[in-house]
Amino acid sequence: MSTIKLLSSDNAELAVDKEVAERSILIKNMLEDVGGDMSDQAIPIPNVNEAVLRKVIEWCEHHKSDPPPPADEDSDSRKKSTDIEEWDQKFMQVDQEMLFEIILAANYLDIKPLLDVGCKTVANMIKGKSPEEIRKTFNIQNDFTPEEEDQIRRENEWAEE
Amino acid sequence: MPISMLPNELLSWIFSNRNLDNRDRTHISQVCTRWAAIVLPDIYRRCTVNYPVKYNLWNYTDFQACVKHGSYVKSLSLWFHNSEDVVDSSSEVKELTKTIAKFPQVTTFSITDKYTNLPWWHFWKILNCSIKTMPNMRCLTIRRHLTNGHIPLEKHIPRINISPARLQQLEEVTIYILVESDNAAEIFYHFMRLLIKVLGDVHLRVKFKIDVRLRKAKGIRTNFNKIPQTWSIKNLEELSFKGSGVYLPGDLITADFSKVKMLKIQDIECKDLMAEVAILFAQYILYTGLLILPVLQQNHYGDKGNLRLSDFENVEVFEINNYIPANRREIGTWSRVLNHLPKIREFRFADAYSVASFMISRSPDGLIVDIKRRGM
Repeated sequence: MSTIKLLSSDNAELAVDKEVAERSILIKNMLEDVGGDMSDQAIPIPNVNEAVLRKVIEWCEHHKSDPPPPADEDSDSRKKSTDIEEWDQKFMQVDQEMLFEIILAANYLDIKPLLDVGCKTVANMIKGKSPEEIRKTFNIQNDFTPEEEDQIRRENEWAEE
Repeated sequence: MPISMLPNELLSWIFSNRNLDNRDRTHISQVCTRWAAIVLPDIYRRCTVNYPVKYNLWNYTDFQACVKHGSYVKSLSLWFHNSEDVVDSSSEVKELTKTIAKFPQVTTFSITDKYTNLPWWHFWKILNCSIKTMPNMRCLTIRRHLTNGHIPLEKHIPRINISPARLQQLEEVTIYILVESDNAAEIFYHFMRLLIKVLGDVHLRVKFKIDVRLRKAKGIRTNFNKIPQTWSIKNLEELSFKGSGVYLPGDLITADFSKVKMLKIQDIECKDLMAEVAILFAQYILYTGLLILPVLQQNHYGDKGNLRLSDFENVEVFEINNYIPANRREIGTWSRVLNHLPKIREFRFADAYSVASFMISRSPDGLIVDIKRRGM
């Protein structure tokens, strides 16, 4: 099995099985573009630091045998699945900073199943919380004026199921 | 890194996750201005906006919010639910059609007139404007409660030119009619005739459903006898009747039932007697081949029915509500009825609380040999 090297934004070089790295559609396309031969030089991943890249590789290694996601980019099926498998749940038990970094990295590297797991994890952190609790959870500043806040609540509360 | 570093595209992806419901989304909209801007279009895309009053849940503020976000709304229902909702002047209709134009992305549209007798001219005007101003509308539902009133005439239809190409884009038209008066049957006939005129030949192609309900049918027989039996519908996929006058639409409609896949008989009345009535109904169908509820009619108009079981040769699902068969004998009686429907595969009973679905097994020569409750 061939190995390739990835270069993180903080200049760490990580060796990865090609099959594992190719869970990233970005890397897969890059390798295809250069004819698959990147054995002598590292592929730069300028948007992802070493710690996050290691986590992403860990996820890719665990899921290297998964079937590829549906080709249909707009498919709603990814949003519809509500469950997160146990291994992924444990994998996502990280601090918020790392969680959002993983989501950004998955988006940049085009690893849709990882992006889905990350987004579902955040959605679960929001579920059932009041606006104030959500702000507290994510340390968000309320930038509404009291009048605006009241208006937006009154205007849209009908939509609550 | 805080969550605020995620781009809008990713936040939108998170907020649209199925784990969240619209209650969560309205809470998200109150977190901060940025989240509100991201999530509100999604909320409005998912909701059916009801205009203007439905069971007093709505007020003007609610609707103004919907208008504000109208460009995202995919599903709009106009409800003329009580006398306060009636638009009875041209200026009000004009105002309403202007409002409708603020929902250009609607794909599913319904217009419901319940107990208000919305004037016909206004009704057609609103319908035509809606088809015209909502270029993405694919599913149209019309619900009208027909009581004593004016017969709709051709001159009521406004001259608004809707191109045949636009009409061809409609994929599903569903019509619910509640007939409740002496001359309602006649109104129904003329209404359908004009509707087909307005829709052009769209009814030949779209998935077309009709739900005719009849109430207080006293005296209705005479009027039905006057109606010319010329109206025909093709591609009718679902037909349901409610009330005791099951035969009436048979008199009214010369329809091609060959594409009807679902046949529903609703509200076998006299709840205390429902099993008895249902069995008598089954026996009557077997004896006459007619879909008539003879017990309730007391021979009042049973002999006039012309809706025959044999017309529904392609029905796959047969549903009766307000009745659950009590034993194998009752199921056996119904299986003899169903044997006259060669394509039947499912028999459903429903009451207010549950639906019992029975799957049908056939012998190699096509006869029904067993009816088993689904899941048993």
